[in-house]
Amino acid sequence: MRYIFAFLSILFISCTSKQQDQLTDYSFYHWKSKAKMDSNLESTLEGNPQKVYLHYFDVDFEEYRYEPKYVLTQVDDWYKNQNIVPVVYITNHTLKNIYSPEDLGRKIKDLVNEISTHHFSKTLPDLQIDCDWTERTKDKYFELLKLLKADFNVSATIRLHQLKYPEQTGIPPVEHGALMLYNMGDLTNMEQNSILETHIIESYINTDLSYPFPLDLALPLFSQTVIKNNQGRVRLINHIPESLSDTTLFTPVKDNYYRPKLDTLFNGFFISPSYELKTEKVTEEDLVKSVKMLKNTKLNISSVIYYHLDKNCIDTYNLTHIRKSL
Amino acid sequence: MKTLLTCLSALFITHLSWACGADLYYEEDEFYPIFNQALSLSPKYSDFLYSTYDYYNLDEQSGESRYQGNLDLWTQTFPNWSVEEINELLFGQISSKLKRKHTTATDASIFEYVNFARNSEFIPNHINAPWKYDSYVNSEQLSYDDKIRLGIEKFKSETNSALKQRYGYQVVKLMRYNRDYKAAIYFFEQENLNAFSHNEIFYYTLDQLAGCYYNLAQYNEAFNSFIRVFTNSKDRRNSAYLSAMFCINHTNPKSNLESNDDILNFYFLTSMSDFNDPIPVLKAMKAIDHKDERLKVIFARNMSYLDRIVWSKGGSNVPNTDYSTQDLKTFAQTMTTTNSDSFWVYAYYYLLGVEGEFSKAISGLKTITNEAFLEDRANLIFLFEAMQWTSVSDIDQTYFKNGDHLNFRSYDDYGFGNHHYYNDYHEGYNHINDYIRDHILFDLFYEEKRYAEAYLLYNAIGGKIHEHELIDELMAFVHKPNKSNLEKGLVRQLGKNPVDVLNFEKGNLYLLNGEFNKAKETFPKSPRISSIKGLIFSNSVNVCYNCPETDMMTDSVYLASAFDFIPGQMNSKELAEVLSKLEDMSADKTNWKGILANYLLGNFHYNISNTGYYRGTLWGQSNCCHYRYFTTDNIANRRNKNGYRYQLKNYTSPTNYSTEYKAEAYYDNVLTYSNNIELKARTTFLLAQCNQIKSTDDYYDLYYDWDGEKYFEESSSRYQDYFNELNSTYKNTKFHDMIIKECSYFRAYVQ
Repeated sequence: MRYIFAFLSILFISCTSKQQDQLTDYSFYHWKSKAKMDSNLESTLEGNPQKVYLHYFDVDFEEYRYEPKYVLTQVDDWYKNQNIVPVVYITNHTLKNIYSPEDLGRKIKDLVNEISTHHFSKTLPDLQIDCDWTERTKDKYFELLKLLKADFNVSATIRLHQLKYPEQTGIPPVEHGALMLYNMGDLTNMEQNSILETHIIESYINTDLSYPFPLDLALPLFSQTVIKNNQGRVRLINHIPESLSDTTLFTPVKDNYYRPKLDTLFNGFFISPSYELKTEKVTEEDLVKSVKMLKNTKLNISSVIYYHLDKNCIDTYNLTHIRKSL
Repeated sequence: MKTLLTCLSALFITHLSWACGADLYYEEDEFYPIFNQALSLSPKYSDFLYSTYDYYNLDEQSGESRYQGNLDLWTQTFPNWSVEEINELLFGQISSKLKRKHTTATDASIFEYVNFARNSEFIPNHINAPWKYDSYVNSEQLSYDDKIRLGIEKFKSETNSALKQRYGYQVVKLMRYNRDYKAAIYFFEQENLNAFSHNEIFYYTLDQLAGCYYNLAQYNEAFNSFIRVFTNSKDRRNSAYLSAMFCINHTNPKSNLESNDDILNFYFLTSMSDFNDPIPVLKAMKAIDHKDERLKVIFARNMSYLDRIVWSKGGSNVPNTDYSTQDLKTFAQTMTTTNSDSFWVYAYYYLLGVEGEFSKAISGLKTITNEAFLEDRANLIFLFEAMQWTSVSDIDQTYFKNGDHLNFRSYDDYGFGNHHYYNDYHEGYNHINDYIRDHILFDLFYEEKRYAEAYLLYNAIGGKIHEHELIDELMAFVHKPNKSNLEKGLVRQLGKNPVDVLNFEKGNLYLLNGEFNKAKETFPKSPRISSIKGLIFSNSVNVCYNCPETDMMTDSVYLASAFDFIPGQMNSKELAEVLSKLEDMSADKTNWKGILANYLLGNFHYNISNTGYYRGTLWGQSNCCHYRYFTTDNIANRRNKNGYRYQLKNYTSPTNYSTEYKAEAYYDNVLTYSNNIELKARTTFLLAQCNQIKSTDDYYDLYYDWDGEKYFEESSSRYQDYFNELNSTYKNTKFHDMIIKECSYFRAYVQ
């Protein structure tokens, strides 16, 4: 009888339509080489986040060797009182070019520990690896993760295509992940917001979507300006300059879409009338909608990580409102 | 068997200290650079003149020289900064002392600029240790975007013009590194960087800009900029040259060049690596501006190519060209009609002389009065006059009134002579004199069978002369009465006491040949060498040339009272006397003294052989490592084959006198007549050593002149016989016990 009850309970629980709890826990990514904090930003935060995912460095493969790039060099005291999770971004190009992950794993471990010891006077237990791995590189990547798990509590970032096609891309051997809900579109498509488009998310998920381990949702709190030249090559400005509204310089073609009126330098980049510019910013509505869509799946979503901890980004959003809406 | 011997020889050679490689290559070993390319050219073009070092010159500049133009600009612009301070500022750890000393507002701007420039460097500090965090924590890291924005801000706000220009350069460079090539070009034009002084930093900027054009596939613009950098920048010249060559791979930019200066630069640059007919290019350049100095540079380079053919020394590095003397001469002649520059007159008459029109050439050269040409003019006239001499009696002795007009070859560091250190092109050496000495005077004397003079003209004195006949001829020449100016100069080559010099050489020849009494009589009273040790009669069971002789020469038989006439140190004449006494004693082989005299004579001949510890000693030379100790330049072979007159040019001094054969004969006597088993054991080992040398010599003989495997096997097997003998007949001797411990080669052989 006890067994029957237990079985029925499980059946009941699993068949109940899933409506996840409000996501009140939140964390931040910090993605600059200098982790600064001033009183303005601190007051905007209204208290400490649960965690700060601190970008330590990228790993890229150049000139026949892999090496760290954009290494974190400065950390203000505020961070020393936070729950820090180091993050290392590895380019897929690196994975393609290494023969085996042992040396890379050892180097990552050593450098992460060096950085932690330098700034926090101790090694840190957690580590998040960010990588847009593919079917071709999954074996090496997963092996790398296994190696790193010997020294850290390792989590990994997951992208929508990896979520949708686990048979092809595999499932990383970790116990926790962060689903990246940004940089999902096409930068060169002037009609599209490459940071986040809810219809793109929609195309990757359905209500039956699940994943073997809990996921945090990584949400974009940033804007950017895309410059596309007449050969389709793009450059990014990591904010939306006010001068875009200067009609002596730009012709607004559509919402968020501009053409320069003359040859000039714009934020250090050359632009010309044949170039196109688009501004990209995620609305609060889109953020909330995206989260709700994901909550309406079978994914185990545990918390939210905002990208990223920067006053310019955060100032343009009402964080309290967003948190309550999630 | 061949393999085995090669292996054994290699083993043997590894005991030797073989420190010297082949001689250095000097381009002047291949030809006489008679035409002085640098004539009447401003120094800024000196690097563009042709030399076989072009390959290296056009490689990326390295070391401090690649910043020299920039350093010079800094010191010119900011004269209150010393060169040392500028160096510290740019390349060193900036000290607080430097900051305390330079405290003006401009100085503060300089420090600020340098800080920016250092942080803008393309190569970060951590390049060598990317996985060590210490490499990062002290280095400022900004993205290129941030650096560019900061650079533009600083460019706009900087009021010091020199620093503003430098910020402009940094911005252009950063934009290029950021691959925003159009931004770089736009910035350059919009901010009118062209209006700044066209100094070294301007050409640094232009070099970056050219790179941007190249990346945008605007090859004509790129080329145009690169050639301006090439012709005007000190530091960026070489890289600009290579970059420009890449542009030409994509396009022919000439058709798009606008100004005459650009077109001349195009010709100038492309001619640096153009080995085609130069006349069309020269004509085209002439049509633009016949006075332009670049025209002379290209012409001078082609004259240098011509020199390599006309005045070749017969080497293998002569370029394969088909330049026509006639074409160059015609061109030079036309230039003389439109241009008063003495360069063209000189070049024209030079070429006329090359064609054999000596009288016309000399007359024409005499019309040149430009002081810059007078010395070269005089030398060329000397050459053209000398080329008309057909016999020794034609030689104009007034040219040799000082007796030392010619540059004689010097004795090289190793005492082997004939090395061409005398001939340093880059210090303005008189190559015309060299040509006259080597090819005109030598030939005249040689044709008239005056071999002594010919020898002295072509060879350095101080090396070994290995033929009595040549020494006799030289002696006769020394004693010749009524010498001409030239002959007096030649005799002076033999030093203050030429008779003693020649007798010393002759005495050594007698010593080597075992003619000790003749040597004793021939050596001068004060021979050149006076530090020959008595140890030369000892022997060693090891081979080590740089070990102390007292450690090596362990045999003490020569110290026996019977040989107390052997001094601790002696000169050549005293050595000959000792050898003569030993030779007398050695005749009586029934007496132990006679047997030991054979033993000591064997030691002497072995020690002065090519692998003996005292090789070179008879001439006061080191035993170290000269490659000629490994040659088979056997004196006897050479004499038999060629006679001494054969190689009066580049007379090389052999080192292989095969004295090990003489040593073997003496050692054989010891084995035959001695009853002392320890002495015989040691002698057996020494005989093995002698035969191993012979094997080595034979190996080289066979290498160059294969003489049949049978001969090879016979000669190589002899030392094995001695080793076998030592390991059987003399197995119970103390010497055997010692040698099997000391000599790993013997131990390995036995095992």
